[in-house]
Amino acid sequence: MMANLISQSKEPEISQIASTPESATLPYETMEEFLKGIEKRAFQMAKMSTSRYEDALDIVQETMFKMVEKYASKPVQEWKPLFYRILNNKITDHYRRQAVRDNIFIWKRLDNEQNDDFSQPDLSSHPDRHSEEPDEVLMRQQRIDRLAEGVKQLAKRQREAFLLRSWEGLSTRETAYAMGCTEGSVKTHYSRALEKLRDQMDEYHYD
Amino acid sequence: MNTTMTKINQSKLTKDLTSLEDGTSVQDTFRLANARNKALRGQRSRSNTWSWLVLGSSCAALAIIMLTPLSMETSPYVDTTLAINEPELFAAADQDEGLSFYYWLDVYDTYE
Repeated sequence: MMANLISQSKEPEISQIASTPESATLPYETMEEFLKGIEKRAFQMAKMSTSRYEDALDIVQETMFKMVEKYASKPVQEWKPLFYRILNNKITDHYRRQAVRDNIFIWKRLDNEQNDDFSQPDLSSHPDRHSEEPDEVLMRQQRIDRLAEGVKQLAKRQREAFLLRSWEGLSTRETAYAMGCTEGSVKTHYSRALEKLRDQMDEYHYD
Repeated sequence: MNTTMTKINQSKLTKDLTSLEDGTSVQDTFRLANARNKALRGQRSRSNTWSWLVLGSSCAALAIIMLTPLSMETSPYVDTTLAINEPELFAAADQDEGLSFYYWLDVYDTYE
């Protein structure tokens, strides 16, 4: 009990993650398969965080480069938390650079605010959606738009916790490693995110 | 806290978020695949190294170009009188020949 509390109060090590039951079966064996499976999700997450298409693409690209360059030799079970840790760090770097740029080039900040190129993909054009009723597709599209807009409004740490837990399905421990914080902090950020997304999340509650 | 979390229909939420992922446009998918292939081939590190090398050598060349004329123009300590031109060189040679004649004469006089 006491050991569990102590372990929750400090940032987990990557070696602890490899032994978690969640990482027992993995749908990938090579780095190529891993990146192929994760790239679209990472891109959408980066897009939600940066609101700019080109920046999101750059961030994912940089993350993939670093992942291959530095961590390809690590055990497969550690890849996912490592990847998201790099991604989160790249997003943080992006915010820092953006803040410096905005302070120096004020006219560019105004330009950026006007040219927010964040837009959700049109689900109706996706081949899998043709099997669904049009009304259902439309409702889902609206639901996703609302959710994505809500997620975009969250604080950075809350957004990270929400996306990694709800979308990627990482455990609290894996999320803590990816975010570089304690498991307790993850729980706090995640619950605050859910609280802020209450209106959007209403549609995801059981009746 | 837990009541809020347990009430969520996680599968519905995950399904919607996955739809968002699946809706990634063809152009974006292509660009991501391209980025992935580049990462796997490690192209960035090489191009990065090359760009640094090119930048470094360019800076070095620029520094040399900028410093060289300055050092030549601003060195007042070069003694121009020491510079030897061709006529002076021949004159010196003639002078040496003249001296050797006098040495010979001296030796000749001594033995005579």
